[in-house]
Amino acid sequence: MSSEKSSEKRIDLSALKAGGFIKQCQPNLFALRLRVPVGDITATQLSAVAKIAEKYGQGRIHLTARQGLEINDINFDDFNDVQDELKAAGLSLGACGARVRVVTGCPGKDVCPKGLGSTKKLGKALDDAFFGQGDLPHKFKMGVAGCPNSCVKPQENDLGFNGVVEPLLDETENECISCNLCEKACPTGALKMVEGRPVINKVICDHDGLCIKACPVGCLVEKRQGWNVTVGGRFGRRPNLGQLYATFVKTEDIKALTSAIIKAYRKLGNKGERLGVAVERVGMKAFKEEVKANIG
Amino acid sequence: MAKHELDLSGVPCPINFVKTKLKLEEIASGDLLEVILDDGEPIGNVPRAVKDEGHKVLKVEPAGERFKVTIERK
Repeated sequence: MSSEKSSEKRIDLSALKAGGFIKQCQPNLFALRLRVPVGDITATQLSAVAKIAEKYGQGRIHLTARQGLEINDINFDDFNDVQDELKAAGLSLGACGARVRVVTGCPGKDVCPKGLGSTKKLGKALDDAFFGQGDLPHKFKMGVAGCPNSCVKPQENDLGFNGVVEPLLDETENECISCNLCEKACPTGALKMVEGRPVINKVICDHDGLCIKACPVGCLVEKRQGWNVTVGGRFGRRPNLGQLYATFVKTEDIKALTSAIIKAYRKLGNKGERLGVAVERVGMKAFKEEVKANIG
Repeated sequence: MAKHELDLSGVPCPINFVKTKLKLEEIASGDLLEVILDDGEPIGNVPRAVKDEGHKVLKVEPAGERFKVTIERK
Protein backbone atom coordinates (compact mmCIF):
# COMPACT_ATOMS: atom_id res chain seq x y z
CA MET A 1 0.00 0.00 0.00
CA SER A 2 2.65 2.44 1.06
CA SER A 3 4.81 1.55 -1.90
CA GLU A 4 1.86 2.17 -4.27
CA LYS A 5 1.27 5.54 -2.71
CA SER A 6 4.88 6.52 -2.98
CA SER A 7 5.02 5.51 -6.65
CA GLU A 8 1.95 7.67 -7.32
CA LYS A 9 3.68 10.54 -5.62
CA ARG A 10 6.83 9.92 -7.55
CA ILE A 11 5.22 10.43 -10.94
CA ASP A 12 2.41 12.75 -11.96
CA LEU A 13 0.81 10.40 -14.46
CA SER A 14 -1.87 12.85 -15.61
CA ALA A 15 0.84 15.14 -16.93
CA LEU A 16 2.14 12.27 -19.03
CA LYS A 17 -1.20 11.48 -20.66
CA ALA A 18 -0.19 12.39 -24.19
CA GLY A 19 3.04 10.47 -23.91
CA GLY A 20 6.26 12.20 -24.87
CA PHE A 21 8.48 9.97 -22.78
CA ILE A 22 10.12 7.13 -24.59
CA LYS A 23 11.86 4.22 -22.94
CA GLN A 24 15.52 3.94 -23.81
CA CYS A 25 17.36 0.64 -23.97
CA GLN A 26 19.12 1.43 -20.67
CA PRO A 27 17.19 0.58 -17.47
CA ASN A 28 15.27 3.48 -15.84
CA LEU A 29 16.27 5.94 -18.56
CA PHE A 30 13.86 7.71 -20.85
CA ALA A 31 14.07 10.15 -23.73
CA LEU A 32 11.77 13.12 -23.19
CA ARG A 33 10.21 14.33 -26.41
CA LEU A 34 9.42 18.03 -26.39
CA ARG A 35 6.53 19.76 -28.09
CA VAL A 36 8.08 22.19 -30.59
CA PRO A 37 5.24 23.23 -32.93
CA VAL A 38 6.38 24.32 -36.41
CA GLY A 39 9.95 23.74 -35.21
CA ASP A 40 10.04 27.14 -33.52
CA ILE A 41 11.77 27.54 -30.19
CA THR A 42 13.20 30.63 -28.51
CA ALA A 43 16.86 30.98 -27.55
CA THR A 44 15.79 31.18 -23.88
CA GLN A 45 13.86 27.92 -24.19
CA LEU A 46 16.72 26.24 -26.00
CA SER A 47 19.05 27.27 -23.22
CA ALA A 48 16.59 25.85 -20.62
CA VAL A 49 16.58 22.56 -22.57
CA ALA A 50 20.38 22.53 -22.52
CA LYS A 51 20.42 23.12 -18.76
CA ILE A 52 17.93 20.29 -18.15
CA ALA A 53 19.97 17.93 -20.32
CA GLU A 54 23.10 18.78 -18.30
CA LYS A 55 21.40 18.64 -14.91
CA TYR A 56 19.18 15.56 -15.25
CA GLY A 57 20.59 13.77 -18.30
CA GLN A 58 24.06 13.30 -19.68
CA GLY A 59 24.06 16.41 -21.84
CA ARG A 60 22.64 14.57 -24.83
CA ILE A 61 19.87 16.08 -26.99
CA HIS A 62 18.49 14.49 -30.12
CA LEU A 63 16.97 16.45 -33.03
CA THR A 64 14.02 14.44 -34.33
CA ALA A 65 12.87 14.04 -37.92
CA ARG A 66 9.75 16.09 -37.09
CA GLN A 67 11.52 19.24 -35.91
CA GLY A 68 11.35 18.17 -32.29
CA LEU A 69 13.88 17.81 -29.51
CA GLU A 70 14.40 14.80 -27.30
CA ILE A 71 16.36 15.08 -24.08
CA ASN A 72 18.08 11.76 -23.55
CA ASP A 73 18.94 9.79 -20.42
CA ILE A 74 16.31 11.16 -18.03
CA ASN A 75 15.78 9.00 -14.97
CA PHE A 76 12.24 7.93 -14.17
CA ASP A 77 12.60 9.45 -10.67
CA ASP A 78 13.32 12.92 -12.06
CA PHE A 79 10.17 13.17 -14.22
CA ASN A 80 8.34 15.59 -11.94
CA ASP A 81 11.30 17.92 -11.48
CA VAL A 82 12.09 17.93 -15.19
CA GLN A 83 8.47 18.66 -16.04
CA ASP A 84 8.43 21.57 -13.59
CA GLU A 85 11.55 23.04 -15.17
CA LEU A 86 10.16 22.57 -18.66
CA LYS A 87 6.93 24.24 -17.64
CA ALA A 88 8.83 27.20 -16.19
CA ALA A 89 10.48 27.65 -19.62
CA GLY A 90 7.09 27.51 -21.36
CA LEU A 91 7.79 24.04 -22.74
CA SER A 92 5.90 20.79 -22.54
CA LEU A 93 6.13 17.22 -23.73
CA GLY A 94 5.29 16.04 -27.24
CA ALA A 95 3.01 13.14 -28.10
CA CYS A 96 3.51 9.46 -28.80
CA GLY A 97 1.18 6.65 -29.84
CA ALA A 98 -2.23 6.96 -31.48
CA ARG A 99 -2.56 10.68 -31.00
CA VAL A 100 -2.40 13.92 -32.94
CA ARG A 101 1.30 14.72 -33.11
CA VAL A 102 3.12 18.04 -33.03
CA VAL A 103 2.50 20.01 -36.24
CA THR A 104 5.53 20.56 -38.45
CA GLY A 105 6.06 23.60 -40.66
CA CYS A 106 8.56 25.39 -42.87
CA PRO A 107 9.43 29.04 -42.03
CA GLY A 108 6.65 30.22 -44.38
CA LYS A 109 5.91 33.76 -45.48
CA ASP A 110 6.96 35.34 -42.18
CA VAL A 111 10.57 34.46 -43.04
CA CYS A 112 10.95 32.92 -46.49
CA PRO A 113 10.81 35.12 -49.63
CA LYS A 114 8.98 32.33 -51.46
CA GLY A 115 6.35 31.87 -48.72
CA LEU A 116 2.72 32.50 -49.59
CA GLY A 117 0.98 31.54 -46.33
CA SER A 118 1.85 32.00 -42.66
CA THR A 119 2.89 28.50 -41.58
CA LYS A 120 3.67 29.84 -38.11
CA LYS A 121 0.12 31.10 -37.57
CA LEU A 122 -1.66 28.14 -39.16
CA GLY A 123 0.69 25.51 -37.72
CA LYS A 124 0.43 26.88 -34.19
CA ALA A 125 -3.36 27.27 -34.46
CA LEU A 126 -3.65 23.63 -35.55
CA ASP A 127 -1.29 22.52 -32.80
CA ASP A 128 -3.27 24.47 -30.19
CA ALA A 129 -6.53 23.00 -31.39
CA PHE A 130 -5.65 19.36 -32.00
CA PHE A 131 -2.32 18.37 -30.43
CA GLY A 132 -2.53 15.30 -28.20
CA GLN A 133 -6.07 14.31 -29.16
CA GLY A 134 -6.42 10.57 -28.75
CA ASP A 135 -9.03 7.87 -29.31
CA LEU A 136 -7.73 7.48 -32.86
CA PRO A 137 -7.06 4.35 -34.94
CA HIS A 138 -3.36 5.28 -35.20
CA LYS A 139 -1.06 8.29 -35.06
CA PHE A 140 -2.11 11.47 -36.88
CA LYS A 141 0.43 13.88 -38.31
CA MET A 142 0.05 17.30 -39.87
CA GLY A 143 2.53 19.45 -41.76
CA VAL A 144 2.24 22.97 -43.11
CA ALA A 145 4.28 24.32 -46.05
CA GLY A 146 4.18 27.97 -47.05
CA CYS A 147 4.23 27.30 -50.81
CA PRO A 148 4.05 24.47 -53.35
CA ASN A 149 7.81 23.81 -53.00
CA SER A 150 6.90 21.57 -50.03
CA CYS A 151 10.26 21.89 -48.26
CA VAL A 152 8.71 20.49 -45.05
CA LYS A 153 7.14 17.61 -47.00
CA PRO A 154 3.49 18.10 -46.01
CA GLN A 155 2.42 15.26 -48.32
CA GLU A 156 4.14 12.79 -45.96
CA ASN A 157 1.58 13.69 -43.33
CA ASP A 158 -1.91 12.35 -42.71
CA LEU A 159 -3.00 15.90 -43.35
CA GLY A 160 -0.81 18.31 -45.28
CA PHE A 161 -1.15 21.96 -46.26
CA ASN A 162 0.57 24.00 -48.98
CA GLY A 163 0.13 27.75 -49.23
CA VAL A 164 -1.11 28.82 -52.67
CA VAL A 165 -2.09 32.04 -54.44
CA GLU A 166 -3.93 32.80 -57.64
CA PRO A 167 -2.28 35.54 -59.70
CA LEU A 168 -4.23 38.32 -61.40
CA LEU A 169 -3.14 41.13 -63.72
CA ASP A 170 -4.43 44.35 -62.19
CA GLU A 171 -3.21 47.55 -63.84
CA THR A 172 -5.45 49.98 -61.96
CA GLU A 173 -2.54 51.23 -59.84
CA ASN A 174 0.57 50.01 -61.63
CA GLU A 175 0.85 49.60 -65.36
CA CYS A 176 2.56 46.53 -66.84
CA ILE A 177 5.89 47.47 -68.47
CA SER A 178 6.00 44.26 -70.57
CA CYS A 179 9.31 43.28 -69.00
CA ASN A 180 8.64 39.51 -69.38
CA LEU A 181 10.08 38.77 -65.93
CA CYS A 182 6.87 37.02 -64.86
CA GLU A 183 7.09 34.71 -67.86
CA LYS A 184 10.74 33.99 -67.03
CA ALA A 185 9.83 33.25 -63.40
CA CYS A 186 6.99 30.84 -64.19
CA PRO A 187 8.32 27.26 -63.80
CA THR A 188 5.33 25.52 -65.40
CA GLY A 189 4.93 27.57 -68.55
CA ALA A 190 1.42 28.53 -67.43
CA LEU A 191 2.18 32.22 -67.90
CA LYS A 192 2.88 33.48 -71.42
CA MET A 193 3.25 37.03 -72.66
CA VAL A 194 0.62 37.80 -75.28
CA GLU A 195 0.80 41.23 -76.93
CA GLY A 196 2.95 42.50 -74.09
CA ARG A 197 0.71 41.31 -71.26
CA PRO A 198 0.81 38.17 -69.09
CA VAL A 199 -1.85 35.57 -69.83
CA ILE A 200 -2.18 32.70 -67.37
CA ASN A 201 -3.31 29.18 -68.22
CA LYS A 202 -5.25 28.30 -65.08
CA VAL A 203 -5.15 24.56 -65.76
CA ILE A 204 -1.37 24.22 -65.49
CA CYS A 205 -0.70 27.06 -63.02
CA ASP A 206 0.87 25.70 -59.79
CA HIS A 207 -0.25 28.76 -57.83
CA ASP A 208 3.27 29.26 -56.51
CA GLY A 209 3.05 33.06 -56.81
CA LEU A 210 6.49 33.29 -58.44
CA CYS A 211 5.13 35.58 -61.18
CA ILE A 212 3.71 37.95 -58.56
CA LYS A 213 7.02 37.95 -56.70
CA ALA A 214 9.00 38.53 -59.91
CA CYS A 215 6.88 41.48 -61.06
CA PRO A 216 8.97 44.62 -60.58
CA VAL A 217 6.04 47.05 -60.82
CA GLY A 218 3.34 45.29 -58.80
CA CYS A 219 0.72 44.85 -61.53
CA LEU A 220 0.47 41.11 -60.83
CA VAL A 221 -1.44 40.73 -57.60
CA GLU A 222 -2.93 37.98 -55.43
CA LYS A 223 -6.51 37.36 -56.48
CA ARG A 224 -6.92 34.89 -53.61
CA GLN A 225 -4.74 33.09 -51.10
CA GLY A 226 -5.44 29.75 -49.45
CA TRP A 227 -4.16 26.26 -48.74
CA ASN A 228 -4.14 23.12 -50.83
CA VAL A 229 -4.91 20.17 -48.59
CA THR A 230 -3.55 16.63 -49.02
CA VAL A 231 -4.83 13.65 -47.04
CA GLY A 232 -3.54 10.19 -46.28
CA GLY A 233 0.21 10.69 -46.50
CA ARG A 234 2.50 8.48 -44.44
CA PHE A 235 6.08 7.35 -44.29
CA GLY A 236 7.22 4.25 -42.41
CA ARG A 237 7.55 0.88 -44.09
CA ARG A 238 5.13 1.51 -46.90
CA PRO A 239 5.44 5.16 -47.76
CA ASN A 240 2.67 6.86 -49.68
CA LEU A 241 2.13 10.52 -50.46
CA GLY A 242 -1.11 12.22 -49.52
CA GLN A 243 -3.72 12.83 -52.21
CA LEU A 244 -4.97 16.29 -53.06
CA TYR A 245 -8.23 16.67 -51.15
CA ALA A 246 -9.17 20.33 -51.58
CA THR A 247 -7.71 23.48 -53.11
CA PHE A 248 -7.67 27.09 -51.91
CA VAL A 249 -9.18 26.38 -48.51
CA LYS A 250 -9.26 29.66 -46.60
CA THR A 251 -7.19 29.94 -43.43
CA GLU A 252 -10.32 30.54 -41.35
CA ASP A 253 -11.90 27.29 -42.63
CA ILE A 254 -8.91 25.01 -41.94
CA LYS A 255 -9.76 24.21 -38.33
CA ALA A 256 -13.31 23.10 -39.16
CA LEU A 257 -12.05 20.95 -42.04
CA THR A 258 -9.32 19.39 -39.87
CA SER A 259 -11.79 18.64 -37.11
CA ALA A 260 -14.18 17.00 -39.61
CA ILE A 261 -11.35 14.91 -41.12
CA ILE A 262 -10.19 13.71 -37.69
CA LYS A 263 -13.79 12.77 -36.80
CA ALA A 264 -14.20 10.88 -40.07
CA TYR A 265 -10.90 9.06 -39.44
CA ARG A 266 -12.04 8.14 -35.94
CA LYS A 267 -15.27 6.70 -37.33
CA LEU A 268 -14.03 4.97 -40.49
CA GLY A 269 -10.53 3.89 -39.54
CA ASN A 270 -9.86 0.41 -38.17
CA LYS A 271 -7.55 0.10 -35.20
CA GLY A 272 -3.93 0.37 -36.31
CA GLU A 273 -4.83 1.87 -39.67
CA ARG A 274 -3.32 5.18 -40.79
CA LEU A 275 -5.68 7.63 -42.45
CA GLY A 276 -4.33 6.89 -45.94
CA VAL A 277 -4.95 3.17 -45.54
CA ALA A 278 -8.48 3.82 -44.26
CA VAL A 279 -9.19 6.11 -47.22
CA GLU A 280 -7.87 3.49 -49.65
CA ARG A 281 -10.13 0.87 -48.08
CA VAL A 282 -13.38 2.87 -47.92
CA GLY A 283 -12.71 4.93 -51.03
CA MET A 284 -12.10 8.68 -51.32
CA LYS A 285 -15.75 9.31 -52.23
CA ALA A 286 -17.13 7.69 -49.06
CA PHE A 287 -14.47 9.42 -46.96
CA LYS A 288 -15.33 12.82 -48.41
CA GLU A 289 -19.02 12.23 -47.73
CA GLU A 290 -18.26 11.42 -44.11
CA VAL A 291 -16.12 14.55 -43.78
CA LYS A 292 -18.87 16.68 -45.34
CA ALA A 293 -21.44 15.23 -42.92
CA ASN A 294 -19.15 16.24 -40.04
CA ILE A 295 -18.81 19.80 -41.29
CA GLY A 296 -22.62 20.02 -41.35
CA MET B 1 17.39 64.37 -63.89
CA ALA B 2 20.72 62.65 -64.24
CA LYS B 3 21.25 59.18 -65.62
CA HIS B 4 23.68 56.77 -63.97
CA GLU B 5 25.00 53.39 -65.01
CA LEU B 6 26.07 50.30 -63.14
CA ASP B 7 27.45 47.21 -64.85
CA LEU B 8 26.86 44.13 -62.73
CA SER B 9 27.89 41.58 -65.35
CA GLY B 10 29.09 38.44 -63.61
CA VAL B 11 28.15 39.74 -60.14
CA PRO B 12 26.15 37.11 -58.25
CA CYS B 13 23.22 37.42 -55.82
CA PRO B 14 22.94 39.02 -53.37
CA ILE B 15 26.05 41.16 -53.98
CA ASN B 16 24.45 42.59 -57.14
CA PHE B 17 21.49 43.81 -55.12
CA VAL B 18 23.69 45.28 -52.40
CA LYS B 19 25.73 47.17 -55.04
CA THR B 20 22.51 48.43 -56.66
CA LYS B 21 21.21 49.58 -53.30
CA LEU B 22 24.45 51.42 -52.46
CA LYS B 23 24.49 53.11 -55.88
CA LEU B 24 20.87 54.20 -55.47
CA GLU B 25 21.78 55.74 -52.11
CA GLU B 26 24.48 57.84 -53.84
CA ILE B 27 22.25 59.37 -56.49
CA ALA B 28 19.52 62.00 -56.17
CA SER B 29 15.81 61.34 -55.85
CA GLY B 30 14.22 61.09 -59.30
CA ASP B 31 17.52 60.20 -60.98
CA LEU B 32 17.65 57.18 -63.26
CA LEU B 33 19.97 54.22 -62.82
CA GLU B 34 20.60 51.72 -65.60
CA VAL B 35 21.82 48.40 -64.24
CA ILE B 36 23.18 45.55 -66.33
CA LEU B 37 22.24 42.21 -64.79
CA ASP B 38 23.00 38.59 -65.69
CA ASP B 39 20.25 36.25 -66.82
CA GLY B 40 19.00 33.69 -64.29
CA GLU B 41 18.87 34.53 -60.60
CA PRO B 42 20.15 38.13 -60.90
CA ILE B 43 17.41 39.28 -63.31
CA GLY B 44 14.88 37.23 -61.33
CA ASN B 45 15.76 38.74 -57.96
CA VAL B 46 17.16 42.26 -58.28
CA PRO B 47 14.25 44.13 -59.98
CA ARG B 48 11.78 42.79 -57.44
CA ALA B 49 14.07 43.61 -54.50
CA VAL B 50 14.55 47.15 -55.86
CA LYS B 51 10.78 47.59 -56.02
CA ASP B 52 10.46 46.29 -52.45
CA GLU B 53 12.81 49.09 -51.38
CA GLY B 54 10.36 51.62 -52.81
CA HIS B 55 12.09 52.52 -56.08
CA LYS B 56 10.38 52.38 -59.45
CA VAL B 57 11.40 49.92 -62.14
CA LEU B 58 10.68 51.65 -65.45
CA LYS B 59 12.04 49.25 -68.01
CA VAL B 60 13.60 45.81 -68.42
CA GLU B 61 15.18 45.14 -71.82
CA PRO B 62 17.54 42.55 -73.25
CA ALA B 63 21.17 43.66 -73.59
CA GLY B 64 22.94 40.89 -75.47
CA GLU B 65 22.92 37.86 -73.17
CA ARG B 66 22.13 40.10 -70.23
CA PHE B 67 19.43 42.57 -69.24
CA LYS B 68 19.34 46.33 -68.77
CA VAL B 69 17.03 47.47 -65.98
CA THR B 70 16.11 51.16 -65.70
CA ILE B 71 15.31 52.26 -62.16
CA GLU B 72 13.98 55.60 -60.94
CA ARG B 73 15.31 56.43 -57.48
CA LYS B 74 12.59 57.17 -54.94
